[in-house]
Amino acid sequence: MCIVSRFKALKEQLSITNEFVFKIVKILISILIALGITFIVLALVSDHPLENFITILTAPVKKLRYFGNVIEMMIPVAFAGLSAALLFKMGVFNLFVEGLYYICGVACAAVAIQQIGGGALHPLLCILAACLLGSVLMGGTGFLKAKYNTNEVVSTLMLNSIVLGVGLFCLKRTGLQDEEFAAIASKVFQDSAKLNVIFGGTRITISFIFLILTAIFVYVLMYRTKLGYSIRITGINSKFAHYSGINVFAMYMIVHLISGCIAGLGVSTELLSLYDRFQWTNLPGLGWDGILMATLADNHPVGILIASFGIAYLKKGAEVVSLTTNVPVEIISIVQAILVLLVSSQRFLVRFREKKLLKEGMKHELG
Amino acid sequence: MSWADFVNSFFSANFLYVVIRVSVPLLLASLSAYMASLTGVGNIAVEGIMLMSCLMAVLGSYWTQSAALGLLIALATGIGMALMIYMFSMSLGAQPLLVGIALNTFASSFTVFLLYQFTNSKGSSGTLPSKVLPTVDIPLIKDIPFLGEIVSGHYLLTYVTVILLILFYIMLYKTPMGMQMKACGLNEQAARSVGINVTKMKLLSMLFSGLTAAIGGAYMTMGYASIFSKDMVAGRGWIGIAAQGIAGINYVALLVVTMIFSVFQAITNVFLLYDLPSELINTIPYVGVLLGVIFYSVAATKKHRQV
Amino acid sequence: MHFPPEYKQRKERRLLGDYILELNQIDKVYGNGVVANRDINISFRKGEIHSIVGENGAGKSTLMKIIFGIEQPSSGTMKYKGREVRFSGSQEAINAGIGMVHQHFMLIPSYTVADSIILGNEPRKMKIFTDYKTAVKRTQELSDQYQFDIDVTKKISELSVGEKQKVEILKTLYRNAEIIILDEPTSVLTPQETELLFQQLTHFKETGHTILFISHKLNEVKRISDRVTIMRNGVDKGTYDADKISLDEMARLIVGREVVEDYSHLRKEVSEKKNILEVKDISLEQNGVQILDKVSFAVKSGEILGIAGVQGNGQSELVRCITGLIDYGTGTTAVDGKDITYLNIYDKRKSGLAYIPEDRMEDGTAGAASITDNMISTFYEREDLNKGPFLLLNNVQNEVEMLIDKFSVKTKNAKQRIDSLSGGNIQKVVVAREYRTEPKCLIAEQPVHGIDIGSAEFIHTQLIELRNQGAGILLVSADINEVINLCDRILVMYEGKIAGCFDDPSKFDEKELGLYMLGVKKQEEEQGGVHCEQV
Repeated sequence: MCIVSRFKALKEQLSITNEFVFKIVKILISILIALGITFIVLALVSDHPLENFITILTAPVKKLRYFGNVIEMMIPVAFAGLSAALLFKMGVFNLFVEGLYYICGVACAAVAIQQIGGGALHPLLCILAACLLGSVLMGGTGFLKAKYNTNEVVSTLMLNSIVLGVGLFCLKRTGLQDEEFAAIASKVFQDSAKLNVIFGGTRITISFIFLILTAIFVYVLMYRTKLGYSIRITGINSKFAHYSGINVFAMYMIVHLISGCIAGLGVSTELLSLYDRFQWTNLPGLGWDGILMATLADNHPVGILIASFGIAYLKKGAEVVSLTTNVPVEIISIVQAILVLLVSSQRFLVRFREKKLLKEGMKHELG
Repeated sequence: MSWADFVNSFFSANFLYVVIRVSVPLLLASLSAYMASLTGVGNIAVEGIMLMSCLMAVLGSYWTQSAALGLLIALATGIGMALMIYMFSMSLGAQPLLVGIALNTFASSFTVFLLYQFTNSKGSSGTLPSKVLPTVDIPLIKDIPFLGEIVSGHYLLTYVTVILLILFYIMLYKTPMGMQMKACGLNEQAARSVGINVTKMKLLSMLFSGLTAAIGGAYMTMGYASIFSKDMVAGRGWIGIAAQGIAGINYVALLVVTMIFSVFQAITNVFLLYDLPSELINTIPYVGVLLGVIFYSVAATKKHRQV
Repeated sequence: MHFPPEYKQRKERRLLGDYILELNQIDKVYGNGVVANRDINISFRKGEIHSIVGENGAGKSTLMKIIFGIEQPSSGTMKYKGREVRFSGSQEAINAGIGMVHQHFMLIPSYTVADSIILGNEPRKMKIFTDYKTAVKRTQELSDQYQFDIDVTKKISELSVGEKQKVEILKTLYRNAEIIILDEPTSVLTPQETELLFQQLTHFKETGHTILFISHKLNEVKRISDRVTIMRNGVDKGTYDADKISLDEMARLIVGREVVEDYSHLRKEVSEKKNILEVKDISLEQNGVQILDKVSFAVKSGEILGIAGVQGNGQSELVRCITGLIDYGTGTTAVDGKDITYLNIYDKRKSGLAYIPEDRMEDGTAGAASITDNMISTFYEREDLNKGPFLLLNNVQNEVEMLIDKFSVKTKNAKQRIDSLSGGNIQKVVVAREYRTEPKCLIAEQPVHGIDIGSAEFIHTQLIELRNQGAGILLVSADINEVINLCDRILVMYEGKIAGCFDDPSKFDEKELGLYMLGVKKQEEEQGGVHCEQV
């Protein structure tokens, strides 16, 4: 009883709403269910399920290199999540980030293989090329949405497949391809283009700092600025925004441009940090992962960092397990799928909450 | 190979045979997308469902050592996934799109997980002795020159697909059920107001959607190829969704559009031989839909302005 | 519960067997606590045209939904053909023989007439196939039998509005409906089509059908019906024989209110009077219908000008034209002498216009946003709330808390989602926000519609205070008492035109206004038009 009242007092103090508490509880329960099911699957395929399960949960913190891998894995996904979340916050279900990761990657590679010279200039140009292309393409979809209310789901799904074809074409037939390499891949990136490792013992580059800065930027933009205020209002109810005198068209355009830029930043830093050449011949899937992380985090920038870190953490754990057993790292797809399905289900656990709300309503009526 | 060979390769019986061969999974993918959107639920996990069914057909026929039972297991998988979309989106209130994306990414990884469990390979199921469904020679027709070469000697599921296409046509245009299903997608309130059980219709449409995608998947590993390899559906599900996007609720248009896309796929195969830019040919279906959607919205906006 | 005496006197005695449908003490309370119907007692005779009249929101539609099984009554009983029934869905009502023609047609444009009629009850052959031949034959016969003159092989999209309505009626006849409910059927029809509909309705009566006719057009109701039930505020005010009740009496029963608030003591004389809002010749045409026809008027500083009228007579379009939510037809508006016709909403607001919209959930608030976010949307760019691109969240919070306090919004926390508040408190937030922009001219559209009396009074007081400070207020309302109690002058709108104009608050008469609102009376052009403009 004492704990409950203390919790209530704390809640009051931090002015946390019941909705927020409900959201957290729902996510925690979803995580438990997801991990539970993963454990069951593990028990089916592994000889030492409990041991493996513990390894999944603990391995990444046991070695610096592993932990570094977690951060490396989370970065591109988190960037994609931030990019997608901005659009979702606007109420636009734009799925182009997946395609942008491919085509902006090609743009970045095209600059990275050129001999430009040392210093910060080369990587900067690579990143700039990717960001610019991302902004322009995403801005195009934004224009169609804002001006003509084009169905963004269908158009961006199609664009994903289109830019894959165009990207492949550029890779193969515009002189980017390394003919001597066994598989389809671009020429080797110049050393001058690559980003430097900032934490010894890992492969984490400055891209991590970019990510943190981007997350802060998105957070501040959305919750601390005039522009972000009008963006949020437009996203929640564009009619209300229009009525209040906000330029809805401009809001749509700004958000799309920023989102495209973040996608470009995400993929270019990824390539320049971890790759020697561009060798994706299919959509990388990082965009989809990012979209799912945005969903898990309810489009909150900090939540996206946490979610993508969490999933990357489990993935690394599973990877460690897969080194010594026959359990492949893909087992984490179960966790991810179940989490997303449960968290995005509006009516999951809602009966429980309605009961509570009803109780509160009664109290309010009486009081 | 000369330029003349290149041109000739499009006018041979073999080319048309290939068109049919590649059209089957595309037709099934289109059907799957079509059935789901018919009642307004929508299914963008066609790709994922096909992929899972591909693998389950291989694993199922390996476990049971029976092609028929393997097929059944694949069908059950596909239907199960489609019903999951229904459950999460209609009953639990998730966005159907998100459920679809989640299932797609899930299928892409989980197939690898299963594959590795049973073959110790993350690439393909080459080592697994799975069963395939037989090819069928149609008596009499097979002896007709040219025509026989084109339509006879396909896999069993090809003919099943043809029968399905006809059955669906009859259902959609000749039976009350088809009319009621369409009504649910076109105006749910109107359907409800005349007492149609909308929930049942939606469930049914998702069931069909899962079934067709699953057959498409099974075809890929029990005919088209005999082994499973990673991400082998390779965008066929998306082409189905694109075809549905162009055709809307017009069933005949759906089939025509899908056949056009199939011809493009067959052309791509030829282009690959000659090292021509097949990548760009591949994007034609998608560009078509994109332009269609843009054109539609621009026209709608202009019309709205006039009023 | 207290009812006016005439209600009880005129409550008819029920004769068993005479009635096809009887409603006894029907109550309907929605989940959110809104009382839509209270103690409804109506009996419908077989073979009569029975009208149900009342203002928007009087509970007519809810009652029809209950009869048709879409909604279930909270308490009370329904007897159909002498047996007690309880429909859990519209299908059961249809099976029992009740059909409904909805105000918004339930049709699918790409279907043919025959398909639309049979949908859900298809004739079959060999059990599984639709028998299209029989369908066409049967529906065509049905159409011919009632002289509907419709080609059933045509597509719905090729039909006129009147023909679509006929299809809806055919749908009910095809299902052997004995009771046909028509929800505001004439609101979409031309006069000729209305005439035709009435002929058909009379014909149905002769063939033994019972017609439930919902409308607020009194002339029509008096002409077509055998009996009339009048509803007000969710309560039925009695059933009358149509030929025994006068239009005046009907109007009085429909608009009359028991509660009268008096604000006259709050009013202060404002010395300097000038035109704050000038509206000239606004016209608007939508889908070939003239919604607004050369409306002109002016609002002065320090006055509340009321626009009264039954909903759907062009008031909301007029407001949307002035505030810029929809594009202009023709005409101009000016605030304080400055032409704002072609400005965007942002600049219109900058010129001193503020607006309390009719639909507070759709236009007036962003439901999923916090109270804070909703409170500042019209003035978040004010200097003291910003520094460079950043919002000064502390200042914003102080500002919002001040407003919450001043407008006594009942909430624990300004971070709460606004849609978790009650209607009255949401509306207070809207009013506070518009008030805070210190407008020269405030347009208030149905500002207290559907909220509790306490909040309504509070909002009214705030409006008067704003008036006393010298602002001009345009109050648009369908509630006659609200207009009478608050306004310095009143215009009545009917069918897109100003039908009447009343200058002297001491001579406002609710009955008289009601006649104008319902189109029974009309001031002549030279009298009303010239009088009102005063530009």
